[in-house]
Amino acid sequence: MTSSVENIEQTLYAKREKIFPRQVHGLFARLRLLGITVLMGIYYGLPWVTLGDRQAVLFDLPARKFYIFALSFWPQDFIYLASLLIIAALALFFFTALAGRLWCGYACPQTVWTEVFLWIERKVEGNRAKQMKLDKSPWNRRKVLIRGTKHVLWIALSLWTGYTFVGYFTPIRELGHSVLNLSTGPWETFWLIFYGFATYGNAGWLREQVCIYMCPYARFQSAMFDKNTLIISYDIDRGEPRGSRKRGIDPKNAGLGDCIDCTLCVQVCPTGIDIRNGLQYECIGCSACIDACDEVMDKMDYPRGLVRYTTENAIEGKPARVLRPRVLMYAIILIGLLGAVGYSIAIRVPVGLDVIRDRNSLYRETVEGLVENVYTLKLLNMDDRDQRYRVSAFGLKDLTLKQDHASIEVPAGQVREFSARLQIDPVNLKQASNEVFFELVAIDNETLRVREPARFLGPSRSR
Amino acid sequence: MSRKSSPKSQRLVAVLWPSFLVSGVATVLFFVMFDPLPRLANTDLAELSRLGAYNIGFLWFLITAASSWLTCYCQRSPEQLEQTTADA
Repeated sequence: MTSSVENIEQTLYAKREKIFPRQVHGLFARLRLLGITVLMGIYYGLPWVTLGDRQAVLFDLPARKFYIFALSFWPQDFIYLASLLIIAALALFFFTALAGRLWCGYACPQTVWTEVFLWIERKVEGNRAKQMKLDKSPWNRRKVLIRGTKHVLWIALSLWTGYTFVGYFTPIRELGHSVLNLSTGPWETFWLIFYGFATYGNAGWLREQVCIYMCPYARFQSAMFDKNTLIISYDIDRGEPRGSRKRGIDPKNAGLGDCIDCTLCVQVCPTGIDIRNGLQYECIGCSACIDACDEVMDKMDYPRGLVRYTTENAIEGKPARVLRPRVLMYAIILIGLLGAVGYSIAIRVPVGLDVIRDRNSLYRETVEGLVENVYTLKLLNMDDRDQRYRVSAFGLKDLTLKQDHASIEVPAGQVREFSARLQIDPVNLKQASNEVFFELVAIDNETLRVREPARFLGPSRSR
Repeated sequence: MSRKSSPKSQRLVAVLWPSFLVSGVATVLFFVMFDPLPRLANTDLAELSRLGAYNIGFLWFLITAASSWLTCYCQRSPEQLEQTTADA
């Protein structure tokens, strides 16, 4: 390889240039602030909410139970978690087809935490110009002090974030005591520090690189785009030819478009692109450039919207359609799934019954000449209060259930095992293997009812 | 198109990050289906708590990382291989 080729290739992978996004004010900045406040409030606040005597939202991994407010989910309910994830993915597709990268710009944790870290950075180091000056200045006492303060604040927030994260899996108040006594378990310590470190690294250092290199969604989101998807775009026809000018001058007379080439749209961009170069993969749709440009347009007394939310069709002067097959399909599937999951959670009975036939013998004959099968019944009380249940069996004529107790008490969230015997006169057995049912009913609440099929084996008829 | 490999840091991320994601999913799926306690009851690991078992299960990460690393390793072009040999 020649040295010149070598040089070009070296620059292709030039070390990333540090981006100092300029602060922006405006409608979309306010919307994002609202989003950040709500989402951060939920994330940091939710583990502290209690319901009765337990944490309202707790993913209790050691007990293999998830509590989400009044609902508690067991491993048997994994289907709901899976459906929830599918719904989330579909919702993402739906909103992407409709309005582009809304998620990236307003709701993604990467965006949200980066914004908070940027806010801290601005409070400590000052505005963009001051940050850049500090970055260039040699390391002296002042720089160490300012940078040190920033990192201490970042690390503090990161550790709090890690603590909150672990607090979703371990009761957060008890976790607080153990943290204060430095007596957290090894796993808790690891994940607290790991998640804190990830926050610090992603929001403090990696920032837009996470979106560009690491995010799977960013890679395939364009597949959901069509010509009617809302994108952020610069109006080339209106803006070009760009150029600086005196205020009050009529741009048309000067042969200029509306873009005054102030580069504010570039300075505010968190991923460091120039929106005037067209739609780019790096654009996370945060609309900071819209706010920045609108402000400039106001100052120049030009109409707003030189950079605006628009669609490819609208730019080309074609009619824009909101309702189109792609959007409708996503909407229909989404609503269908939401309805199905909502319905099945609503009718979900918080009681479970497992019937296990005694594997050691097929059947036995009692002294009275009856055929008997033995079963182990496993009773799950998934309700949040203790319940007493009655068991019955049916499915064959004159089937009798023999058990040690008339009813079984199962504490909230517990499992009880007991054995039960079914007896029947062999004249009532038409075949060797018969289907029978066990039914479980809560004594205080007849709606807590579950039915489970089982096999009843007897002598074969040909004997 | 440049055939030179991406910087070390990017390759490191390309190995660690996808394996982290996949091992997370794999760990969840595995432990939804299998409760570690009864399975470990008669082994040397009987003392281990569920949380401990989950975390050790997450070491699945090492396997997925090995797979990602192999992909990266085998992806190198002949030029890069020669370059590496020349450097060494």
